[in-house]
Amino acid sequence: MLTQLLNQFRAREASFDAFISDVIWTGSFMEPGFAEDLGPYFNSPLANDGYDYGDHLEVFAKNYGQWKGTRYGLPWYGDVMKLVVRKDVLEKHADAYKSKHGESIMPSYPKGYKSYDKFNRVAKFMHDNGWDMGLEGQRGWNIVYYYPNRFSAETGQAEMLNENGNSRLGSKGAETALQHYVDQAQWARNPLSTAYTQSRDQFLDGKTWAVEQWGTATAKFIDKYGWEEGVRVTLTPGGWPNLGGWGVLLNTYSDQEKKDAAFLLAQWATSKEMDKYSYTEHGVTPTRASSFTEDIKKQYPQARYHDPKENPGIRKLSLRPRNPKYQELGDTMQTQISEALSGSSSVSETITTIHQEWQNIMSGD
Amino acid sequence: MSTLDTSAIRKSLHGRLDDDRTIAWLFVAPAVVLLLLVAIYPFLTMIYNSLFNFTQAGRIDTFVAFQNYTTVLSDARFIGATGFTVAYVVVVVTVEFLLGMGISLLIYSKHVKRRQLLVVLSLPPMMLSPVVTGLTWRMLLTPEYGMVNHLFGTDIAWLASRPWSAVAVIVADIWMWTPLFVLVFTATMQSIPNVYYEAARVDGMSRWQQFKWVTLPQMRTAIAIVLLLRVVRAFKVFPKVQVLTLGGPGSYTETIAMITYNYGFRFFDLGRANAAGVLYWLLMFGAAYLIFKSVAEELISAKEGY
Repeated sequence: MLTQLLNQFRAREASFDAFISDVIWTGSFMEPGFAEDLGPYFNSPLANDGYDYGDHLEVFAKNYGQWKGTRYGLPWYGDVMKLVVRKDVLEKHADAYKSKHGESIMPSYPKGYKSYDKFNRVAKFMHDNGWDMGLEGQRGWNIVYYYPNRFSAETGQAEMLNENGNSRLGSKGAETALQHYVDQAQWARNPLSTAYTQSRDQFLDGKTWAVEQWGTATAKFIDKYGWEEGVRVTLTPGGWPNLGGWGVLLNTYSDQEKKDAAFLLAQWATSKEMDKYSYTEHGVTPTRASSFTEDIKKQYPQARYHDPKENPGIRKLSLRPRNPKYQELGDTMQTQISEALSGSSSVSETITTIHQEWQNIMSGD
Repeated sequence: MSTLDTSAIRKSLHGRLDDDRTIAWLFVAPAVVLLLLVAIYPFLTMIYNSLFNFTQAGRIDTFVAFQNYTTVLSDARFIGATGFTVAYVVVVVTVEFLLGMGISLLIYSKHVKRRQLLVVLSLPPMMLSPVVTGLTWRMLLTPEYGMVNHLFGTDIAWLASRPWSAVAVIVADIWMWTPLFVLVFTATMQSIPNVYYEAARVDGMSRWQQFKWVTLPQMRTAIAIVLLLRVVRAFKVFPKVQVLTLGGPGSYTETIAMITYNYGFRFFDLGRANAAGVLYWLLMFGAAYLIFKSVAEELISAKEGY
């Protein structure tokens, strides 16, 4: 979809007025000037008084629509990775695990396991007791979702590129994060053949005890197993879940009259009412503070996971590079990590290669 | 007021139209114009574009001469993809040729009835799109639910481990394209006059000698054409591998077409993509030229045209 959209922009295509952009595509649209600066629109009579842009949580407002200090998009579809575990299965092994490791097997709600070290101990124990975890290791974009969860948990950095565009993957923490990922492949179900839909289906089929997944999939898990009876949804281990989600932007090349209508549409699609609707009906992550009403928290106990007042960790999100070169950076990462997961190259060799290639890509060599 | 001397023009035109060369050029002109428009112009544009860098907005930016070529040729993934593609072409075309010939000889055996039905039954894989073929084999080979692991009692990650991912894409291609060889070879065998075999038998030739001295020489044109078509097509392999392995694990099954697509449409580096395209074309042209020189040239030049 990104390629299709970019090719239309390059042809100065005006057949659509508004469009949606994945969190990591923003640089690709905003840097070449394909999206409209929304500042003048919010200063015009088109701005809806009740819209309340400040109600969007900062992490979503910034990442779904801002680029170099300018506001181009409005947060439309929030999504954050989560660790989902089979609480009912873990409870059966709780005593044996505690006597062996002297700690609880269960991740706390909503903060989750404190680190991937702890998670790996549980994963190995469960594997030894006949239960595999879910791990997305098939070559593809899923690798570039899974690695940042581990990178940020180890390094305490939200982004793998620093503010000057240099790679942070040359650090010891970056290597440890990859080591965790590679180790987990031993305790996972068909990790090399598993991507997004496979990991979801394995969990729904009762074949795995844990999986890191996006928000909409976790709603299915809760429907099937029951909230806190069957499953528990927490932050990913170490507390830096990867940010997904989409913003609504306006096409620079469409004509002015329709762009006005498009701005009205964008405000409606990202309004307080629609944010609540998307959460309660489809399980996507709310992007607005006002969505965490007492009614909603009572009706949807898992809302505590998303509410930054109850779970401050939700503000700490790991990010894939929001950069026009994301496609090449991501492709390099998925290709190299796929080599490490399949045992064709060592962890240190792999992370060094990715670090060097990222430096080359960012410097334009 | 001067008058136009049309008789001189008519005479001159009439004279030219009498010239065979002029008439020949007039006949081929539409085809030449079409070729220039759809093949030569894009090709020259590709060469021109390969000498520039492009902006993110897709506009020509700076002249870089042959820098894009050195970038592509120093990219380990491009080199790896070239090696895999060449190996893939050699293996799939060789196996398809041998299988196609073997199956055709079986079908053409005098003991086999309903030859046409057998040929028709072999065709469906060839009629599917590469994406459907890829999806079909992906379902068969997936470790979780796939029929192949179930049948053989194995637990192999066919599409995500070495060397099985390469085996998988090769097998899928052989399954898809062997019917083309069967179709062409069977049709050609049917057209060989029986009298040649009768004469061979009178001369005391064994079955192998009949195949070597009668069947193969009579099939030479068909072999040349089908090999040329398949080599060129196999070099362009893209959707099947994209669906099956995404080029993985790592970049193990990446092909030149995939990496060229990545340069252009995922990394948006159009200069590099055009340079890769030129190199890709040179490789394909070289392979096609070798086949043409070795088996096809004398066949095409042996007869005069109409």
